[in-house]
Amino acid sequence: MKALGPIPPEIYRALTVRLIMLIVFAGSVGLAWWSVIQLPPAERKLEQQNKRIATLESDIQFLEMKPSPLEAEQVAAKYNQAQQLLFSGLEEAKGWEQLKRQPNLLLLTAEPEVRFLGKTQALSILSANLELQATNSPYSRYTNSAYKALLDFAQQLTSQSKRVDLMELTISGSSNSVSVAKIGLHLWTQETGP
Amino acid sequence: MTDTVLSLSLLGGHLKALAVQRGVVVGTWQRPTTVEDFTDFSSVVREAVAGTRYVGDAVSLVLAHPRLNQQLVETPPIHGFNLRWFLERRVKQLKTFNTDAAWSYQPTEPTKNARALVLHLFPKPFWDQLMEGCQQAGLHLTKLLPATAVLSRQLKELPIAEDELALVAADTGGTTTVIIGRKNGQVYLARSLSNSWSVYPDRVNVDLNRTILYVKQQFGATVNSLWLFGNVSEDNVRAMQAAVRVPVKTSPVQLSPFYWNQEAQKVADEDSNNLVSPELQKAPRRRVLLRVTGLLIGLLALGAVATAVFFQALVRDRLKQADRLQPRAEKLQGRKGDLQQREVDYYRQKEFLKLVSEERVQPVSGWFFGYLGEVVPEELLLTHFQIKRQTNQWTIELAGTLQPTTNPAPAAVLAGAVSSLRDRLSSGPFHVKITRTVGVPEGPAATAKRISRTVTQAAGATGGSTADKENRFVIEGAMR
Repeated sequence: MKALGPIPPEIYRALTVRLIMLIVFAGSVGLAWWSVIQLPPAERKLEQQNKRIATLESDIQFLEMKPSPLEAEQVAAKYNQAQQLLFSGLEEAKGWEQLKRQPNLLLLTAEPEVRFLGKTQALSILSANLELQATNSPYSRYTNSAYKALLDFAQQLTSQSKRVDLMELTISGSSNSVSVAKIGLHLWTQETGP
Repeated sequence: MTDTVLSLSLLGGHLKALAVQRGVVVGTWQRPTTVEDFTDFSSVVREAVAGTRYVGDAVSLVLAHPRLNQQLVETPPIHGFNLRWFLERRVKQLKTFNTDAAWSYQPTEPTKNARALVLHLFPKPFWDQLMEGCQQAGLHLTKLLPATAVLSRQLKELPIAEDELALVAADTGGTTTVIIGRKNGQVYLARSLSNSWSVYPDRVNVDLNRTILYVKQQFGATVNSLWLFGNVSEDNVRAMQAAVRVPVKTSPVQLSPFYWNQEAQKVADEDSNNLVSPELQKAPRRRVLLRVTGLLIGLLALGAVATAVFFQALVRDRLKQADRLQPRAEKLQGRKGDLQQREVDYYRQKEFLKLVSEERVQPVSGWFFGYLGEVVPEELLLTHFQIKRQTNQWTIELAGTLQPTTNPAPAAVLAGAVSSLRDRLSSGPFHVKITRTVGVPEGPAATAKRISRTVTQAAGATGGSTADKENRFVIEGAMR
């Protein structure tokens, strides 16, 4: 049989102490656990940082080798030179003197029409069509001088300092010489167009 | 039961002490003067310790006190906490003093109506004084037994039959302790009478008769004999026999000077008569455990703090290292961005160069036009020339007529001249691939009629007189 008797305040004090100890115990375990679980993320962060730096250094090393600085410099120089071959835009192309030049023994029947044809990467291509007609002078009609003048004119157009492509040449003639000539040109410009 | 204990008996103010060390009695002591109250009980305990040379912690006490009384309580068939709560309520109802009560109980035989037990009630302030007195003396009171709890053990030693009901009355120093039960130790009633037969025999006799009658009423059981224990004379027996209707005898149990102390040792600490609860009995061990646990937890807390400090230091170190690397990483990132941009620029420039310089369209039109002047046979007159850049190749178209001739077979002349022109174009520096020709025979046996028809069709496309139409030619081709 169990004895029954009053429970003195000491029991309750002991319970309070035990509760406090339990809290301290749980707090201690929690504190230790919390402090331990904080380390892996920090380790990971450092590892990622090291890895990132190693990757960057590797990438940089690779990028520094290819292309070599000398090669890049040469290409840049050529690039600057090549830019000079291009018209700056539609206006410059329209005002290009070669389009207004009257070749010998031939007449421009109309002002050449210059318009955007298309784009390729950072460049635009303008098209210009020239229509030439042989003059009525007997000299031109019955000799091949017009033929030669046209040849010279075409050669001059394509040997300028600008990038001009002679894309089409159509000639109609009679018995001995050129009557009408149509020249299709492509002019290259840096302007990206409309 | 404890092997090492200072066993005290306090019966009617007379205190006796018996020191037991590992089951062996090592000392006894009797206080020369009575203990009037418990206000300085610690001094009494210290005296007992000194008198018995007791070395230990545990103390037991058998108590016969005027304020320690008993009540018979009928209970419902409940156990454990329910019984405890029930008894707590009953204690409040039954106590005859104003203060709180310390209580314990002794199960009895069921009454006529219900299960029953004897409730021991003792004023809580006295109980506190006893507990604190022991505590102040550096000891721990583990057992506080009413004298009835010890006396009930005597039932088994009486020379009575199993079915007999005996009443044992013991002189406990100015009070009389009464127990009624059977030989098997089963108790019917236990109570303390506030008088002793040596001082007030009549009052005791009256109380005994009432007790016997009460047992008859409550349990329907008849007391068969009455046994006196303690300082008993023949006169006492005769006087009592004259007053009560049951046989009165002297208990065969010998009253040794420390009978109560020795018998108290045989009662288990967990006995329900014990006025010290199990919780309090184990208080010293619990305190030690609490201290040890507290110490361990304290060490654990210190360890946890140390661990936290250590790991926090590691975490800070790692984060600091990572932070220190950040500017370098940013610098490298910037450098990489510059190099990537340089690479992009490089390839863009290369592409640009390829497009502008390397893929430049050669002035083939002019060259070919100039070349024609050399390769067109004299017999032919070129009236139409077109060269056009299409996709990756040049397409050419030549048309003309035969020069005026006196040859009677102009068609053959035309065919020969056109064939010659076509061959020159194909085998010349421009490697023209002829795709269509009008005005050339298909083979050596081709008929003039067929040639004439084809040329006529070509002439029809370009206009002209019938004669002219017959002598016209067209050549179409392509070159790269």
